[in-house]
Amino acid sequence: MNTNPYNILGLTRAVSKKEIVMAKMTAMKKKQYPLNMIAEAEKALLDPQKRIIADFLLPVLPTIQRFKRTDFSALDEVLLELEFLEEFDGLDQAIAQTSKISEFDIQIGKALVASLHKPD
Amino acid sequence: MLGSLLNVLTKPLIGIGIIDIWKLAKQTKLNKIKAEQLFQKKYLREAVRVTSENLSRWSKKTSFLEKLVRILLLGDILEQLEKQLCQWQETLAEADTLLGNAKNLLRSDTGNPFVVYNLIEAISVYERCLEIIQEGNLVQVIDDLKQEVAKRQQFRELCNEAKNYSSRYCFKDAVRVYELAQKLYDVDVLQEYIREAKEHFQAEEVYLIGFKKAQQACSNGNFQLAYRLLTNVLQNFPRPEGMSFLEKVEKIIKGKEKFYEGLQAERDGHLEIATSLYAESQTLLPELTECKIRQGILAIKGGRYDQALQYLKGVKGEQATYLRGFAHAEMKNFEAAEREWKSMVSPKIQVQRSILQQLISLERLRTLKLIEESIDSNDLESAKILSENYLKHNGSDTLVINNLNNHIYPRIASQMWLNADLRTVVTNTRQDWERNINVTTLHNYALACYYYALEQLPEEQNLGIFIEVIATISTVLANLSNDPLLKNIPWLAGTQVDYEEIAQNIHKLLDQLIDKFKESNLDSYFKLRDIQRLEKMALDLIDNQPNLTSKIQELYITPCCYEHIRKIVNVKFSVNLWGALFTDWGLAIAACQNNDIPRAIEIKPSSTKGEIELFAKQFVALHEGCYYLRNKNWEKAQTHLNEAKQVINDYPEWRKEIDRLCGMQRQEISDFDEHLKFAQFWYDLLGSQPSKTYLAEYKSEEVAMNLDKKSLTKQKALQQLNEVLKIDKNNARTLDLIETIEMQIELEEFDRLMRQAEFEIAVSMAKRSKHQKVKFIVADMFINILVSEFNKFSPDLVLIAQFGKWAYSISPNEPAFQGVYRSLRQIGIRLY
Repeated sequence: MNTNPYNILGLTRAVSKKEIVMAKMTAMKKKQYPLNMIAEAEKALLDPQKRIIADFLLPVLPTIQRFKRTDFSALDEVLLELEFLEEFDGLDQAIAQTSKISEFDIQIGKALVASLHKPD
Repeated sequence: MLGSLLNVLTKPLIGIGIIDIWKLAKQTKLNKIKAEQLFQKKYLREAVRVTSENLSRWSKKTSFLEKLVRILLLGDILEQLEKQLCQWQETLAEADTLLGNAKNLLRSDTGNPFVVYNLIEAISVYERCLEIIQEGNLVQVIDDLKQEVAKRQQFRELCNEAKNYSSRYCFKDAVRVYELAQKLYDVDVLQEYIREAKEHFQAEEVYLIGFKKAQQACSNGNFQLAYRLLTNVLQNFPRPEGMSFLEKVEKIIKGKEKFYEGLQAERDGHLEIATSLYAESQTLLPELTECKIRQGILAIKGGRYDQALQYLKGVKGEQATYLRGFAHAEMKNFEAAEREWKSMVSPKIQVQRSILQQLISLERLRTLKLIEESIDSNDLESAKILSENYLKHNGSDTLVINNLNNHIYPRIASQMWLNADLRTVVTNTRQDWERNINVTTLHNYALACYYYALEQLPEEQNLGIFIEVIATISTVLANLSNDPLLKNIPWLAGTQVDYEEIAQNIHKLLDQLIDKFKESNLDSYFKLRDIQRLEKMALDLIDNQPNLTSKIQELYITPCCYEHIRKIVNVKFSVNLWGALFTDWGLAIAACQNNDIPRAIEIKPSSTKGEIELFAKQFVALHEGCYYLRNKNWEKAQTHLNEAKQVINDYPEWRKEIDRLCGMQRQEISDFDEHLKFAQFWYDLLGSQPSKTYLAEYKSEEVAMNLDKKSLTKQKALQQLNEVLKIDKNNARTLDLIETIEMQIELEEFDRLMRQAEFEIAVSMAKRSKHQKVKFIVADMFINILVSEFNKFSPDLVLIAQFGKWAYSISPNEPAFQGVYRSLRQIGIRLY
């Protein structure tokens, strides 16, 4: 990837010949690549036959759009919390119910009797 | 009258009247038939009786003459009768023995309804007997016995059923069934059983009342009362059914007790003990949903929300719904909590729901904040995971989706190309391509492979990546006009893109890449070259014979590239050159196409499967054959070209080429036999005109040689030559030879007839000949004889006239003879 003339000169595909020449100067100052590589890159991009191959040897990347930000001020407000509602605990009610015959008792009693009459 | 007279006359001679003996013989034959019919119908006793009587009518002491008369009238019938009688009597004795055995078995049956053995045995013996003899009531006896056996079996089944009832303390049912059995056989032992069972009637009555009351108590949910009632009655009457009932009631009571103890422990704050007691209660009484709810509440109180949800799963009622919603909310599954609570109407729940909505909004904001923070710290991977997880749990959210698709994913893709190592880029782009086959993913995948291969050092050259480069770049080239990178190139300012030139330059890049192997690994170099050649051939077909090719998901895919996605997209190819490139034979085919036959021979597979590979194999065989022909080795070419016969027929240009090569090969052959063999092969392979002419000439030559050697008669030779004409009907050499032989035959025949003085026949034969030459020879001979006779001192004018007429009749218009004919006319000889 780093051998692509566009990358060596730090350019995008739309640049003009003037920009290529200028980019060569910048690249030489940066010294990120050997001088001969920079010269070759410039030469390639100035030659339409070679430049089109350099174009071809670039990846197809989607356009990056701006990240849409959000207002988080609501997070600074007082935090709300859910509380366990005691009325749904029902412990005392359950204890009180145990001394009585409940609907559940009748239900399982009938089910048991019905099961006695089923053939084995 | 005449009969009586004959009787009287013959009696003193034979000892019996001839008419009497004749009548007796007739009756004997009839009786024999009757006895045999009786035997067929198994009336054995009758058959024996009839035969005995039949024999008894013939006296044992007889005169010689009577014996003679008996033989004349009966043959050996009397002997047959005696033999039959003997055999039937033996069979009858056997049947009588069986009948006796059966009777003995019946006699030993005591009438005990519990025993059926003797009866079954007797039935079996009677049935064997019935196979031999048909006696009046035998069938009826067997039927009666079977009925008796069935009755006894029914009796035994009833007794067993009744015993079973008794063993289960169902004495009333036992007596009822015993009484049914009694109706079949009233035996003493049954009365004893009934008496014993009846002794338990009172206890059973008490049990039934107690059992019924216990059932009632149970149905009313009063398990303690049911338990007491059952314990009481089962003490003296332990019927299994009651015992099982008691056991179940006991389990319910214990389950309820454990639950109650659990409640008390929970009230007293002993939550662990309560948890354990609830678990015991659940084991004993799984239907107790109240217990599940308590378990759920304890789990919530202990912060074990997942466990709480497991306890409460499927439990109905408002309490369980609330608890599930609460557990979900605590686990931050706000959407699930909302789903639980939205059916609840309690005002307090409505307040909880509004808090829930606020929490949902806050949670969303928190996630968005985390995503933004990740973006700000350039941690795109975290931003991606957070966004994806958020969408997975909360469904669609336009802001999150847009940020993910339009910012996070594109940035990750760009960064990957900038920062990631090329091996990772190859892996990722390959996955993208496999997930979404299109020209863009293909372009990126091909580029990643190319750059990765480019940075491979000679010593670590990984052949796989180079194959991938050739495959993917070739497929990119196959679809070059659709490549997004080559659309709207800004610096070209509207100038047309020269795709052909680009393709050539890219091929050069591939060549440079493959050349990396030339020095270090020749084997790999050849392999890559084979692959490149295959891919190029596919590209060639796409350009020049697009009707042969096919697209996969709107893309042209080259064979090597297809190999990588075969598991994803399976395509059915046609039986043609394009299809053949996608088989294991593709590389060899491409080598052939490149005229590199030695390499094709080296790399061709050893087996074929399916129709397309068969076509491919024939295509390679065709090239191999031509290769050997070019090298003037027709014998080696023979096998391959014969194998490729079908393909040759499909390709006219190849037929032409083979004809040309065969023509050249012919020039190299000097041996006659080899010429013959080669001509035959060529003719069999193509059947072209040059091959026909060639074969016909050599075959004719062979016939001529055999004629010379006298190993063939002229007739046989003619037959063979006519066969040769079937190969090439206008072959000059063959036709010429046929004519010569036919003429020889005719002349020989003419000579024979003349020698035998069959002149007229000989002349007539010469006249009929289709060969002018034969006519000329014969006429010429006559003219010569005529002239020599004419030149004699005293010529025989009759003879001259005769020969003149014959010559004229055979060849009247031959210019050479016109002078002679004229002279003959002048001396007054008429020629017709």
